[in-house]
Amino acid sequence: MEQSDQAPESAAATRAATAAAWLISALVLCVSLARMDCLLRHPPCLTAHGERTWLGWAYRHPEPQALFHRIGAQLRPGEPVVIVARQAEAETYWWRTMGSYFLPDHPIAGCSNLHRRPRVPAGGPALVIVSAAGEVRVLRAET
Amino acid sequence: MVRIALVSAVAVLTGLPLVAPGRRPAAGDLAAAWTLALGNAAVLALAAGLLGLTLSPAALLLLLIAPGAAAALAGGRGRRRAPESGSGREGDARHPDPDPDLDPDPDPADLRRRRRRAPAIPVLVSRIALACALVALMVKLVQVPLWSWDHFAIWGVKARSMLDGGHLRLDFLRSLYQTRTDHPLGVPMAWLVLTLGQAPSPAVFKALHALFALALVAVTQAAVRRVSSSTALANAAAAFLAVSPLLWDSEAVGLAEVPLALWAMVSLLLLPPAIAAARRRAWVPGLALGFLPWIKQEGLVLCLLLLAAALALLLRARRGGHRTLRPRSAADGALLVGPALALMAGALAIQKLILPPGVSFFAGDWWRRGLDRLPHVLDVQRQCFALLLQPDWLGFWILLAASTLVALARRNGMALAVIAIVWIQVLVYELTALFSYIPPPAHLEAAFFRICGALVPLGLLGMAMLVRDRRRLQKLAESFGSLDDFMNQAELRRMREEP
Repeated sequence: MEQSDQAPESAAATRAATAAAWLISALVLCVSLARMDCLLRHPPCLTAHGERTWLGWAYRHPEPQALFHRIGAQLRPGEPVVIVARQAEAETYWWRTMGSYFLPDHPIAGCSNLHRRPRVPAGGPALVIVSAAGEVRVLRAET
Repeated sequence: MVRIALVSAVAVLTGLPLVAPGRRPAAGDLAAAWTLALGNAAVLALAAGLLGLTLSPAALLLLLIAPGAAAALAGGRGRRRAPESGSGREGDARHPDPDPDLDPDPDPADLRRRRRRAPAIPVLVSRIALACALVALMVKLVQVPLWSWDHFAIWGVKARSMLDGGHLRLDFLRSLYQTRTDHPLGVPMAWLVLTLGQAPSPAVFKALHALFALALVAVTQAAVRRVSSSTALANAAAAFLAVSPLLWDSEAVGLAEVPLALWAMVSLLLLPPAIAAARRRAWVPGLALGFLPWIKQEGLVLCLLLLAAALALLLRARRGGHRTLRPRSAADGALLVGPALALMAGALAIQKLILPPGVSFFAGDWWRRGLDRLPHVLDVQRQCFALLLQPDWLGFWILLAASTLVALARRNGMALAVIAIVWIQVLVYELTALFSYIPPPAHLEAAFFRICGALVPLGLLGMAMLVRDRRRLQKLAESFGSLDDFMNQAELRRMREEP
């Protein structure tokens, strides 16, 4: 008796699960196909909420890894640096954070805009000049 | 990459004695084993590093293997049982899929027959949806740059700097610019365990994120299947997770939201079978729960909520109608809570005693600040609603709200507990914004959307509990005398009382 009472309930539960699975699968298929289309036409399809809101703010310069690799290749071990770049003063947070991430052994002593190149005392930090095109030049004061 | 693959294989092998002893593992078991082994190794590595021991690649490998080896030695070798089958004939109530978990001694011929059987159309469609979602996710991960600010400022920088020649060094935290120095170190250390101490490059971080994402999808699929007994629904839920903002939004790459969701889901996946096992194994999900505060600070709240829900259901059910606490339920509770609280205490001790103090959201007179902002509570609420109703969620939060009402109407205790945990966690985020030193609109805009993403798998599991098959539940209850109490005592009682 108990079994026969429960059989319809079991069938109803299975039907509900199947219906939910159909609906969700259809939704996911539509979304995935639309996104694949976006990925193929406009890679890498940066349209999600966080990408719309924060990508432009956080990803100031393309290819930061390559940029800091170029900088690191011209520095002496443990050498502190002053970054001289376009809008570097306004983007101090970006340069300091990326510097800590990519060049942890090179403390960033300061940031300066391109048109206001600071004077560096002899034996002081190296000036890392980053052009608008991303070219890197390192200057040191003579000791 | 080869190194990560090899270490992952070792992690799976060493985690299996904890997750699926004496049983042939399914995909969800493999993912849970990988996760659990990684978490244990990260805790041991941090402890060893703080004690001044060298974390060489060999030492990290040893720490990865040790807990699983100890469990294997202590547990002995059992006869292999079949994994949970994913080949059920969905959509046909006349042929409900027998669950090998319920059958301690399944007929091998029956298992072979079930495996050969072609999947029903809903299962096939849900598999295609899952495959499409995962392919799109992986294609995007390959194309997208690593850009998330918190990765560079908080999580990634720690993974790249905290090991120097095998020695744990935390002095660099003081020199970081405007960062959260006191955030837990569990995730960066888990990444370092996978790379055997090598500082990850951006490409490696993306690969690690892909691994964590795939593990989360597998664990979610297994957990939903366990509660709903529907393979099609489990695949569909996993596919939905793959297209949800948690995994699709590249802002989460290299952050701790995906690991937080992963460990929470692993603890929920492991909880019922650990309680039901003949040998007491409640300490296994306890380990997964206890790692949550090592991942993020809100992991502490999530850990406490999950522990409280598990204990409430465990102890309430054990009493039955007699209001007496059996010795075994107390022992299970202690086994669950003990490791979780010990790990929680460890995470707090490291944060308060060892890490440099960070800028807390509750800095200053937070109480006064909160009271002053009370007139703006509705604005805060409106902003939260606006963020949760964004099209990116694909209607998830609307569906969760509707499911909450259904769970209340059906008095479905387990589903309510899981869904309530999700809403409480959302409320915690809202209150944090209200009391934060950052103005609430800016605070919410900065993180609310992203951190709510980690709750999607929990919400999916809670919703799946609403469509579970009661007959299966009763079979579960008859098979495991303890599991019925833990999961569904109240519900079963109601079933028996109903005509």
